[in-house]
Amino acid sequence: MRPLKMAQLNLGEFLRFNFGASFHTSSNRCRSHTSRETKPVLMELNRRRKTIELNNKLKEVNPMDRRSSFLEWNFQAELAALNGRLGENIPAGVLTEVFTTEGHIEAEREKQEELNIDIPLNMKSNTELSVAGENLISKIITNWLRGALPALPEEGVQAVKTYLTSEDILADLGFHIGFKDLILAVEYPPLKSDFAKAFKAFVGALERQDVDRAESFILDLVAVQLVGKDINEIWDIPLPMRMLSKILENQGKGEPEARLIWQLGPKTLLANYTVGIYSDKELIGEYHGETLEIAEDMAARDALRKLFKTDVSKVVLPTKEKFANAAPNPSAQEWTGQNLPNLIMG
Amino acid sequence: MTSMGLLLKRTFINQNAPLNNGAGRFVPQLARLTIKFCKSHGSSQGVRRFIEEDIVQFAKNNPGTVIYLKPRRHRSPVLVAEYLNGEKHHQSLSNYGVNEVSSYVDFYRNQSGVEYSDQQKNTYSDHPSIQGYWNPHTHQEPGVNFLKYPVNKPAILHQPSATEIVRNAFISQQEGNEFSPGEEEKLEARKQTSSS
Repeated sequence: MRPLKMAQLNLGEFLRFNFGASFHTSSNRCRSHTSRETKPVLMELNRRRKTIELNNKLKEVNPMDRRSSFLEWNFQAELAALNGRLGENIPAGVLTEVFTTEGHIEAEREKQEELNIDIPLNMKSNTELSVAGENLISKIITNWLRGALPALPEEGVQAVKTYLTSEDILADLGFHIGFKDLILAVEYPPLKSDFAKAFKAFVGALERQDVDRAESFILDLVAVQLVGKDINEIWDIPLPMRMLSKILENQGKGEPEARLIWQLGPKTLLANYTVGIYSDKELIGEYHGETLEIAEDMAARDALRKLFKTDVSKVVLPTKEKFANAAPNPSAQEWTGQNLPNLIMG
Repeated sequence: MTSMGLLLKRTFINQNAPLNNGAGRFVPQLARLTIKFCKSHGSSQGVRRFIEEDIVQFAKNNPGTVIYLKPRRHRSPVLVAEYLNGEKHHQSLSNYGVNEVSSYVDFYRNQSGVEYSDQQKNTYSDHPSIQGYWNPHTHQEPGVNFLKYPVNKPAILHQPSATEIVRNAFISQQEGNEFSPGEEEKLEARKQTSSS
């Protein structure tokens, strides 16, 4: 019997699951059939979980012991497994440096002071490696974005790069590689910032060995986080119509003209207006909205999506390709869409 | 209803691989395997044989997994699998034969550690519509906007009604239209005459 995590359970969430008497799955599941006994059981489970949590909090008992305090723990074996998992070959001494936080070194020093010993600590924190790693990640991701999305203006490239190299994403990556029990820190589990720093330090350690392998590592793990994500959600354009007029002016085309194409139920609550943006009497963007202003804004964004080729269903990311250092993409103010390389979606 | 029933979740397949695992390089998700067994009791016999015969090969094939062996007297054998997402799954191996133990070890090797959930569809897409969903204007002519009703327009696909078919046939017969070749003979054959 596998132990199940006691997540917060509420009836609303619960009603979404089907708990009929039979387990046979069929495509037409009756959603509203739940047993009468389910709700009180869930309420009781939640109540018990809350009392345990409060008890732990008041007694300041952390029920999560460090994995490294268990009897079955072998740090060298764990480091070797980390190497095996990722297909890398970093020596154990360097890895220990990768996982040593400054807080840990300070704690060790305090312990020594308490016991009045003076053994020279041979530990180096991961700050230096993390700085090197951060620079490399930044460089590789920017180059890759510029190569993978050549039609995207530089502001978009920077926005996506900030997202991919943000602390949240790097910490999540570090966690899912197995850093939780390897990081030598004061708190357990380690803080998000510790995870992110250790990940950058790992990349720094790889770079020391072999820059090519470090680049592959970054592309395989960090760049791939963009797969399945919508670039337009990451990079929000503040004034799309203004940007569109500037771009059309740069291209020497006519001013953008917004025209109402369709409307449904115009003076009702469920009104829907479809607005099209025309330039030189050619349709360049079309979208719908609840009011005329919203529809025009959305249509301008649609036109920009078509120009920058960031339409979700059409983006193809070359995750295995390494792009060399290139000049920055044109900024949105100077964007003309000329001299784009031959893109797959055309 | 089984004991899992109350807490069974329903998810889609995009929840299976954490952080797009496999899109770049594949990171095996099993971090640690701890096998607790007894050196003498009969229920650990399968586990003991697995350790003697198969475990070294398993460790060589999976360099990303650390294997801990815990011989403990008077305890039944247990396998604890720890995954990279922090989950721990334990499995009793009491009275299992070596084949079963080996199968279960392989089973836990292939899991991702994500909690078991009911998955009814084997496909998932964030963008199910490429050309855009149908809306009432999808196949409408733009000129429809400028129509002033009532419009005297015949239906586009006009099939003649039964009355019209009979009427047209009568008129064509009256006008003495010629039959197509072979039709006159057919008509003769079908006519009911007293001399047939």
